[in-house]
Amino acid sequence: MELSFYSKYPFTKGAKELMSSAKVSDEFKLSEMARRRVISAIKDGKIPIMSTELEDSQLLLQIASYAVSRMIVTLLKSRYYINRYAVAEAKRANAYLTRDSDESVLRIARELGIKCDIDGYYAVGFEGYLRYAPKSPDYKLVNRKLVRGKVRLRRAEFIRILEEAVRLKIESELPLKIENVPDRINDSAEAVKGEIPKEPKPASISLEGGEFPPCVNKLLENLKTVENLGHTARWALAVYLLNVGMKPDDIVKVFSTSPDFDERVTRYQVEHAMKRGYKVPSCASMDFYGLCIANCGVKSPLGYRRGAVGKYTASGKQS
Amino acid sequence: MENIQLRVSNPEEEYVRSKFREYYERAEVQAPEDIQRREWGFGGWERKIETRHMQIASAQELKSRLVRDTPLFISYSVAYYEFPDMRPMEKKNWLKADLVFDLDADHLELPCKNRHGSKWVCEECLDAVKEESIKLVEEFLIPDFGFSKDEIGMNFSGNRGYHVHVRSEGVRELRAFARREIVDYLAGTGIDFSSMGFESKPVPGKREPKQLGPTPADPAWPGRIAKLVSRLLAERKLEEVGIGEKDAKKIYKHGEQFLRAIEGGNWDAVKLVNKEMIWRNVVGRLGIKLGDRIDQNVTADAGKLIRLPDSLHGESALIAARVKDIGKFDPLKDAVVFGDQPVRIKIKKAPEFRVGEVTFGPFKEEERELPEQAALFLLCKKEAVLWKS
Repeated sequence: MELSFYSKYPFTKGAKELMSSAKVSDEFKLSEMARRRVISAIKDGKIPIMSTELEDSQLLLQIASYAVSRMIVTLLKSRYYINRYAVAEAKRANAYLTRDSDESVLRIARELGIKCDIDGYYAVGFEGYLRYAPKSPDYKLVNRKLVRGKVRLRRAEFIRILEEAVRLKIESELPLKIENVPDRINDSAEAVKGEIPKEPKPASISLEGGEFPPCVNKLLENLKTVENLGHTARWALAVYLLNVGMKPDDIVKVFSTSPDFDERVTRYQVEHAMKRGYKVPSCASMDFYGLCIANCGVKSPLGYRRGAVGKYTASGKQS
Repeated sequence: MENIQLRVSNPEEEYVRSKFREYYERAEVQAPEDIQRREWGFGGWERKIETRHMQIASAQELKSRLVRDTPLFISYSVAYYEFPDMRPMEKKNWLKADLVFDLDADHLELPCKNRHGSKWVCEECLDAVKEESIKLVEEFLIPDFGFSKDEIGMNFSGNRGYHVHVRSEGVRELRAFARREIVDYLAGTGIDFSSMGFESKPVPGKREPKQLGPTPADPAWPGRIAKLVSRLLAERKLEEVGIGEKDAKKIYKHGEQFLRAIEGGNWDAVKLVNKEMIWRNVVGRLGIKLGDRIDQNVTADAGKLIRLPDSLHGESALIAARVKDIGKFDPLKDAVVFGDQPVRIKIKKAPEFRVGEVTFGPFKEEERELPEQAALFLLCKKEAVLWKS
């Protein structure tokens, strides 16, 4: 029972304690599993979930593969890969939580330090909610049922909050401080490097004869520093870039630095935004979304340095 | 030592400062929690904050600085820093911050403001901002956010508003985004109509969809909207939330029926043209008035300096008195700390004002002998000078 729980949620304290004493016999198989885990996480953005009705030795391997994966990810020496890995691990946890009992969901929430209870509703303390809820209009606190300090959520929303908490937890624990790495793990890390996409270089973009407004520069910078941008922020950035004449292909490239980048989804969304012909949000709307960072004295980000704002050009292509 | 400036001070400033010093010599001004982690700002005759980025190590040091330096305004950071006196801000290393709300009568845009401007307050604005503060605590912080009465401290701002301090360990960790979300919640900014339970439900065989909506029994904003509309309906004040006169009359005509329907979540008991727009418009008007976006930023800003409770306000000579029972609190009485000694002053201009139980003025270009508490009030407003014969 406990083994199956820990195999689903290997980031828990109990799983860690278990690993410090457990012995895995098949070291070769273990490093293979870990290698595959890291590759799927970084390459596909997700880790396939397994049946938990496995033999104990198999479950133990699952748990151990998480521990080894973290060592491999550490050896990749890149914040980008760490964040991408954390996103995939968190999604994996979400998938298990969705299928799991309320009791397990509650147990994970407590472990993550989230004040909550399940009593007819999935209720999360507003402090935890504000910390972990996606930053989008749907999740805006004012549109939520807030009762005596708890936000009442649907099960899937509650699990989405836990997913974010798992992501931040894993992200903050990496890189590990490791010394004396076994050769086998070093080899795995080298093998992983050959099979994952190259870390995207931030697309360097500039406007011909003009400048991006501070809010757009900030969004671009946040992408570069691989911070997970909220949906509205991504949308605003994409719409802005479309409106200054950037091609969808180039916009997708700009977004590729995001740790939870999924080319298919991004392309769809950018093309969708183009088809709908969205206008750039006004400065008032940008402020409303919490994206306005400066007082430029214009009404729309497009109006920044009016007359000086030029057409987009990829750097290098600039004449 | 870098802050020493040579400045010619005027007799009024010197007099006010000497009186303030007398108060600080006898008063028990309580230091904020973790005093050594706070940044302090002192203000003088010209500006509310003249020097900041200061650290005060202990309650004793605070007391001695109040007596020795006697700032005319004193405020401290809601934030706790590792190095409160470092600058720029980033070097201070922000650790956490109290959650403080700043309610100011000037932001309520009351009709009386046209009469007396931002410099003066009247009973009307003081009552209104008190109402707003009660609403913040009783209708939002306690039922929705779940804070207990013990975690909420309130004090008069010293001039024309109230500061509400939330002292709950959980909120101290909140970063700027979360604070902004709280402000938006209180102000009702960004309310999504459909998230409030409003729904146009198609009815088979009918051209018009049915307008469903929240019930007064619903929690949080949906319930607040239903309760408010019910109350305004009962009081026949729907026009206050922007419902047109014609529509309001139609609703009043079937008032009882409409009220009962809302209790069941049916907002369609009276036929209204453009009904969805009407309710959308109402929803946009219900929040706490925390001032415009810029002032809200200040409330949400975890780096703000806030007046020290029990300290004197240099524009009024009133103290930022702690409020025990807001219902009974009278700032023009409970925040007065000076006495009745007669002081001779030359008054430029002042509307009628009250200090304690006594009403003074209006005055215009006249020489008067007023009790110290009223004289200091006018001197601080810079509408009077000392009169030496």
